[in-house]
Amino acid sequence: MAIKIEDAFNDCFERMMSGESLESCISRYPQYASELDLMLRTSFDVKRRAYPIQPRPEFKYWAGVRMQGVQNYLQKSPLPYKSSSYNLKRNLAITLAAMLVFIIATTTTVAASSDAMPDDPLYGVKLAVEQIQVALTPNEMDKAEIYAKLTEKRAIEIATMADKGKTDKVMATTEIMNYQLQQIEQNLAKYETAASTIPAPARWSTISDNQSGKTSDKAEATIKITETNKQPITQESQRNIASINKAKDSINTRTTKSITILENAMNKVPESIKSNINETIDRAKTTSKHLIRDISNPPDNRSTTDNKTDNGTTNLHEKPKLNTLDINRYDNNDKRSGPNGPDDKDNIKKR
Amino acid sequence: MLSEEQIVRRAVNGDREAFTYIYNLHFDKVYRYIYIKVRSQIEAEDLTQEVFIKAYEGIRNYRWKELPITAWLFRIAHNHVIDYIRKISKEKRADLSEADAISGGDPVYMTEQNFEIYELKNALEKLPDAQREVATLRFISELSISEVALTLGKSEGTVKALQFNAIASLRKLLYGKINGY
Repeated sequence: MAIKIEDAFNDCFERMMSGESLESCISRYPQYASELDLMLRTSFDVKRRAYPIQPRPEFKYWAGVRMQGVQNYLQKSPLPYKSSSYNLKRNLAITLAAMLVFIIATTTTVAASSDAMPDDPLYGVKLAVEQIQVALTPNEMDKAEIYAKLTEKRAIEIATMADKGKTDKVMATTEIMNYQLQQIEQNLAKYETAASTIPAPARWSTISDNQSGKTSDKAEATIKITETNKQPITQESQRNIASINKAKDSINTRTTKSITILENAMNKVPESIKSNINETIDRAKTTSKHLIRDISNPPDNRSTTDNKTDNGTTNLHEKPKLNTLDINRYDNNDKRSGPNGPDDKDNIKKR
Repeated sequence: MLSEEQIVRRAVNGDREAFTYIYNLHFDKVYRYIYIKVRSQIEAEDLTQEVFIKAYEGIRNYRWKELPITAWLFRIAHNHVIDYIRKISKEKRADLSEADAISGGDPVYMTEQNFEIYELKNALEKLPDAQREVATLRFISELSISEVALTLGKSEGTVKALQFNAIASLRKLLYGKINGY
């Protein structure tokens, strides 16, 4: 008896979920090849669209704690519990029980969750703990570094799930990794924005004036003043620069490592989700490029070239490009000059 | 290692660890099922918690022979969502901005993802009830054919046909008509 198309579709869908390729599946049912191709692609697109719908890790964690509170309460309560009547007394009892459970259970649960994989029941706890760790970190650069560590963890998890043939978990973890890669970029961008508000050294003003081709008396006077006021880079700022460079190196190393792990995992995942992994790899490469560009382009080499146009002239309408390493250019003790300070080139232009 | 049936039996007999195992195993799936129906993060979170509280209350009366635990849980979820929708009478549709995705931060990325979920939700709403239920349970909550069949009280053959028709309809709704499908 000829197989029905809906049975063929279901068989192929199940096989693809277990890791078989679309082409291989379709070749089993040549009579339905074109229809199956369209239908299977649609079904996986529906699944892909629905993947981002995940409970927030912190909600999941607290819901678990509350559930344990409910269990505690109901075990002790002689009366049948009805969820429809949420009275204050019961809620209070549940909350207290949940808090007790939380205090006792948190330490052991958190410890146990640290090695949890996406197919592990404690994985939600692990993600929640990671989020708390990020939330408690005040500095953007440190946050970016933590996210880099987390993306490396995600890459390992993706590879492990790919080994186990758990396509759905690979997809879900890839989504989380994409989000965390974004967070690296965003935190670096925030840090750069913050760094750009640090006053620049007075020598910017001399560059700006010289670029305008006018060496007026006023400009010469400015040069003298600023040269006089230039102060050496303090030990503290040197330490800051070193720690920033170290953090960036660490982020770059981890991102590169994550890319390698994902590239190795590629041949273990079905064709249908390779594009998703590739997207994540591209995202990681963009983050890595961003860091390489910053590290390999020290500000002292850029200070006189960043604002130059192709014909060697300087575009005075463009603000100097800044990144975290531009802190090298500043003496933190010199508060009088900088992109937005009194000696900023725009201000000088007005003069 | 214990089988699913053994774990469920333990849960029925009041073993909290066994129930926690079931809870962890199905939590995400139930949340996704509810979210796609109410499409509000806050409502989906509340309803998901309530479904598991109901499940814990009712687990002592659960009989494995009548229904597998997954189907039983999804029946609770299905009924609870229906009750909720009835309760709010005129369905309060969540705004697009409320659509939740795991991604955050980058507005472009978020909007793309939310829009895709929004499109999917709209397309699902245009399906006949039976097709929508099958598609949601099968492709969003990732239940097996037999679990969907038992949850909905239909035969596996019927579910396979509904599944195929649902995907054909979603294809038309999401991308337009291509090659007759």
